[in-house]
Amino acid sequence: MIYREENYMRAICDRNICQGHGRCQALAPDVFQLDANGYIAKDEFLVPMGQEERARVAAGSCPEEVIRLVDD
Amino acid sequence: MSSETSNLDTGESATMGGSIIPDHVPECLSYTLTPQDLSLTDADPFVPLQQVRKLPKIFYNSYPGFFGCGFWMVTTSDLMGEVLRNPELFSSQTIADFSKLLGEDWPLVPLELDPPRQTEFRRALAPVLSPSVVKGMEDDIRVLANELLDRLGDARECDFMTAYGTPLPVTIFMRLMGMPMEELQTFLDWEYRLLHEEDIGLRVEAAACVKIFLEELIEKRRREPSTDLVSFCLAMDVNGKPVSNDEILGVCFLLFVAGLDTVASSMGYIFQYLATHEEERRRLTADESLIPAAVEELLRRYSIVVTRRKVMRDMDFHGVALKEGDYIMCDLSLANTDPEKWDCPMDLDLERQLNPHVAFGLGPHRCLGSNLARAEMHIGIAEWLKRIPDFKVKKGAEVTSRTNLKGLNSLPLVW
Repeated sequence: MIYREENYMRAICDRNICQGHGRCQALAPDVFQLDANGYIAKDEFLVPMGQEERARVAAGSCPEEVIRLVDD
Repeated sequence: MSSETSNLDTGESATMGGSIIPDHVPECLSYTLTPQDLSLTDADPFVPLQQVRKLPKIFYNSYPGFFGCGFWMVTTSDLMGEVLRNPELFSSQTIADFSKLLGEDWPLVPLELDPPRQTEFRRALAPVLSPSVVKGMEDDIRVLANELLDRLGDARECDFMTAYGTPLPVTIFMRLMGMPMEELQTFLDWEYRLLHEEDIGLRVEAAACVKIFLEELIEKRRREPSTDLVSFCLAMDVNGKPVSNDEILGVCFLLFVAGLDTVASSMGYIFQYLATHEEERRRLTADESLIPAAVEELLRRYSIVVTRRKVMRDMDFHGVALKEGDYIMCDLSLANTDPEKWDCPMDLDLERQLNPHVAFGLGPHRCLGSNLARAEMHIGIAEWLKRIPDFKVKKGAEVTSRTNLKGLNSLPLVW
């Protein structure tokens, strides 16, 4: 257990079902990165502080439902 | 809605029109709906199309239509998701069937392939229209948009489709393919006949013209490679396996049919909306940063693509018996206006936040050109609004849609 003062939001992305629509990066460019071909680049990472709302809009706009957001 | 005479309201299943209903289709799920029944020639065909919500969520339309045979239709977002995400049950084989027009048997690639070969092709083709490549094309699109607007000169009216909606995406596409610009009108004529002509003879002729042209282009690039898409395809490595002549032709044929029509059709509906919604148009003109979200909402509400899948084995699908070889039609606009998924789906909210629409498809066959299509729409709208912020549909103009693959026949605008 690592003790933290802040609550973090974690993004868990199922790269196997990403089809490269690119909505996440367009809607939350400071949260989601794409690889060179336009598919989501990382499986799991912490959402930068202050970007939680953008991350929610981006995750909710993915037609493939690739992104799950969980509060740590 | 002009449905009073259609069998949607009476609830009766129809068998007229000489179409054959297969034995496994129960009477209660069988309808014969012509494009006229659904008023699909309206300026906004998406409204009368909503009539199908009164029918079962899975029903059989025995009207032979464009492909000459009846088909199942699924009308909800969830059902379409299931069909489009399960290629092992619902295959893409022969869903466009252009080669059959010529008595041949080669697929459009990767559109008519299933995974794993489809996935291999998508990986190989991904770099050609990736977000960063498209970013590099934005300046060219902007320059071209302004050239087309320059050409209008002092005119205070135009047919939007022929002056802007079509030449903008088509010119960009032809440059990408390395196709000769002076033949633009010829290609558009072939394209029109191939995709929208009812007369099968004319479609066959158009398919032959496209094939001969592409085979010559492919041969030319084989001898003298260039920087265009055809040369890219010839040099591409598809998971270490060689690409056959049929596959190269299949890729080029697909790019030809997909590249000449879709963005133009979407732009027609978008500009019809802008011409008739002054307040929204002014808001976008005043603040360009609102355009991307507006485009997503317009794509949702005016989704032009209809695709289909082939049933791979006999099965029970949500209580409906499907037979191997049946086709299921997926009109993406129905998924994007499904009242179970969207509040007030027929209303446009240009600032809609959550917008997981499927206008570019769903699952492994997501439109390969979606990044380019979006850039063309964003820039095409922004540049037009800068130069012509106020415009209307010409008084007395009769705006109609085509029935095979949605799109406006013309859009006369005045300003």
